[in-house]
Amino acid sequence: MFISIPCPECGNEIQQPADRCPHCGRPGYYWNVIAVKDAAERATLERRYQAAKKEASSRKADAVLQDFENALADSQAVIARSQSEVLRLANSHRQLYATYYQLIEAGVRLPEGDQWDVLRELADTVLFPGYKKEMRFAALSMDGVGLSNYGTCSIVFRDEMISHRASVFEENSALFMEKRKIKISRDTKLPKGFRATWDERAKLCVAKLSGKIDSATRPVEYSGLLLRQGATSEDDEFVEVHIWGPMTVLTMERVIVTSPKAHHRAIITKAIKAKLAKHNVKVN
Amino acid sequence: MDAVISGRAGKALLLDGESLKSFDVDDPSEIVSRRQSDLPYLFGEAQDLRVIENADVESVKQALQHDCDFNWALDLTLISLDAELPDDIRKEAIEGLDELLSDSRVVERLEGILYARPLPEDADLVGAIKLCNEVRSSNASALLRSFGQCQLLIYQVSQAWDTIPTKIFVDYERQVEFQQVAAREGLFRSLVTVRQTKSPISTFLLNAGLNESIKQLPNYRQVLQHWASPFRQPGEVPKIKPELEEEFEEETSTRRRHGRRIGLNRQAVLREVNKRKSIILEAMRRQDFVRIHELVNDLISYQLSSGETVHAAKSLCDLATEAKALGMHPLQLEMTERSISIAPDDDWSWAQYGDALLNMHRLDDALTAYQQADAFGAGVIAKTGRAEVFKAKGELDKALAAYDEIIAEHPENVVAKTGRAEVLKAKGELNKALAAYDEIITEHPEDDVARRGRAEVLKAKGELNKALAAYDEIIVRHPDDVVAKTGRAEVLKAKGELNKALAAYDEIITEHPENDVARRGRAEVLKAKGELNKALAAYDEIIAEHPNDAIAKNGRSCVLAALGYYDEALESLPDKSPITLQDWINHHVRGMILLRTGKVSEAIRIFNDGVQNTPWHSQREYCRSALAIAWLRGRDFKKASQALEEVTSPLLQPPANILRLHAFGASGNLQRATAAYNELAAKPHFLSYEVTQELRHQFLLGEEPRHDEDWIFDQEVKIILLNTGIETSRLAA
Repeated sequence: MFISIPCPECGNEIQQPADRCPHCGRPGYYWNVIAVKDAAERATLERRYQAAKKEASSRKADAVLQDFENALADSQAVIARSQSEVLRLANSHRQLYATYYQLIEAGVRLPEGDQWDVLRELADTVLFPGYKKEMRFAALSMDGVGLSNYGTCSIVFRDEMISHRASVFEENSALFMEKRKIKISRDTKLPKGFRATWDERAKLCVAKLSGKIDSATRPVEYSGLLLRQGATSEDDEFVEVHIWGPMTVLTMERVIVTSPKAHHRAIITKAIKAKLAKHNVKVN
Repeated sequence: MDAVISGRAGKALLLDGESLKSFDVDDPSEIVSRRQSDLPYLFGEAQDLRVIENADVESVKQALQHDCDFNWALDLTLISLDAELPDDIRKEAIEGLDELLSDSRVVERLEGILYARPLPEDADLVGAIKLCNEVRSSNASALLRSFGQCQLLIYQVSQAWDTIPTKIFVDYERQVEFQQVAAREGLFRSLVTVRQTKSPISTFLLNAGLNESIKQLPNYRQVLQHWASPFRQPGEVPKIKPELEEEFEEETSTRRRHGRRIGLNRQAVLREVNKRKSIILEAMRRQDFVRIHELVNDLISYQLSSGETVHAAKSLCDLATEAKALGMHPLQLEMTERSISIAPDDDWSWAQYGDALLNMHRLDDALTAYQQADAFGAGVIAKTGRAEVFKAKGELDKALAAYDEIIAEHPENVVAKTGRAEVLKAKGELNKALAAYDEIITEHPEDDVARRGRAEVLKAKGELNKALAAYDEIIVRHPDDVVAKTGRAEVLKAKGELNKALAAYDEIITEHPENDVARRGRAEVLKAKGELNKALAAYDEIIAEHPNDAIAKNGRSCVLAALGYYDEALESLPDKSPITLQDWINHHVRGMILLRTGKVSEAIRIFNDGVQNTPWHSQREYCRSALAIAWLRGRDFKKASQALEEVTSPLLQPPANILRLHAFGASGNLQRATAAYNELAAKPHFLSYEVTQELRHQFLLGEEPRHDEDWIFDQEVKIILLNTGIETSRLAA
């Protein structure tokens, strides 16, 4: 699964998962993006996309599908997080907060045993060989609301801060592999055509969702087609966004807070609003 | 059933065989089935995950609620301390916190975290306590007040933690892990409490050693012992007794044994590096060299393991700069040597190495190092360093040319301009030097190096009141400018106000005990006052700390000679061809000792060598004075008078006038002898010397001698020796 590419500057080989050329030191290699730019991957996606459009055309849904595709140009990457997490991000550069948050960020230590192997199996996936630790997971959203099953705050990221290092995947990648019974191994072959670069995310969404669009589909429904909140997370449907590298408060464009129930959560939300305003991040 | 909970995410994951379920703290009754595919999303970035084994749903709910309460309490505490936030939000946070603090378990956990580090500078504790009073929040007020009162103890406990070498934890990741577990388990708070209540440290060690979470960590006993060691009372003996199953673990893998490996967080690395550097600096101030080496090794291993090779080299250079500021030149050299071995193509490291070699007087090596720095692109820093080496080697014309070259290429370079002015002063071209400094100050009014340089030139010109005023002006602008303060003290000494000079040095030393320039200056004043045993003790103290301090060693040799310990003085002087200023000073001192011990021709050869060959104007003047004594000893008063006519340095006029009183008086020129004597009125302590009064007695009053020629000769040699170091302290600054 490990691949290498020639450095576009010095021509020498760069081995995955290096994030810079080991020979000339030039930075900026995002392997998730490199992987989706693979010619066979793109060709297969193109075939899926053309087939979807052709099929929609046969149902006289091509104009709506085109409108849906156009609307997808404004789709954004969204991560749902808890308030505490957003407060931490909003303050990560402040010594007061950083000092004390560091002291409680111990991370999980799973005990030995079969029971815990269920969780440990996720440590490496075939999607990100050697660089999973660099990846952040988000969902593609048209209205800025993320998967609320995972947190009451939806963080919407600035396009210009992630477009160069983000790729999109058909659905929850772990679920995708579970459904297709893809086992994690060194030689795992992933079906092609189910992932795309950020710029081609609309193509992937058209290929995935064209069957749900007909001539009667209204623009107001587009958002719900792209990301459907299920009653449980099992029922969530969305396009997964893979983002290489870290994110800070300056990566955020806005935060949408839903249902701060308890009193102290409302206070924390106020503090988050005041903090984020300083970074021009809006809170809805 | 087992569970993983996160108070930060507000989620619990239940594991029962292959079944995965979760619930949210807001609605614990709604238990949702999960798949493995949900897991990357479930806890997000939260890293406060806690595993609970063999639990039931009810106990997991309670544990999650408690973890959430603790997290909210922490968030609300931080909001209440945040001066950036409006008061109304802070007050609401305090009210919410007050409510959560009614649970004593939350208080205990919160204090466990808060007491693990001193309050950062940007926290507004006073404001928070004031707001607590306004909203009458007693629980929050008590927490914050107690936290404020313990800050000093928290600082001490935190410092003690930071000095534990990383190798004891096995590696950096485990050090971080240990700290987090220790904070979570309240060990920092316990140690602060033990210190506060003055309880025995053994109580802390016993309780901490019995903590189940702590016992899971490698080398926990050694860590605890090391941590507690600064707080042991006399008589409390450390007991390190590793058990078989807890043998010292050596470095294994930098990868976590379980869970996710966390990527490099540069800000965190930077914070960690800065923290470690400040600890090393403290060790430098304590001159704890064993500790310094341990801590530096730790720091460099940490940075190299983070892939920060160039940054590791830069850290060494930073520490070298600190070592230099503390006068620890061998340490500066050691750090920079290590820096170039880590980053052999780093221009900055080479330049710093050059500077260290220059300070160690390895001048040819310094020149090579600066050439290397230049080759790797250090540019003007390397060129300036090269000019500095030429100056130190006494190749003043080359130094001047090098500075001129830099100034031609970089007309804005103030370092080169001040360097050039210094060379002019060293050449004795005092008016040119003054004009150069005046020009720099006009162009760069903020440059205090130039202002200090100008004050030094005024002093060298004998315009001592102006020099004093110039230093006073700098000190008014920058009351902490220790270089200006020592410069001012030297002017007082040059004015003959020795008690004032001594008091000034004492004051500087009280404020800056590490300042060796002040300590040497003080020794020089004691020497000039004739308090030779005190001066010797002062020099011995400096040399004990800095065995390579050439300036202090020269001063000490002068005192030994003045005390009549000629053999010891000669042994203390390196016998080599003079190159640097300090070489020329010790060359001159050697000549004085030879003269005093009757080896007159050998002494004259040395003084003539100085007059003809030293590039330093001041040293030429000293050698002329010394030569005059040699002629006086041979009763050749004409040659002595001629030699003294050429002594023009204002700072040397008082001892030269004593010799003139002798030369002119003995040759019958009473007018010149009287004039010389009258000149001394401006420097009462020279006037009060017994030898001055004996010469007056014999030559101006025509009275019978009270002392013989040997005695007079001995006193004259002593006067020159005691004033030899007159400029040495400043040059070290």
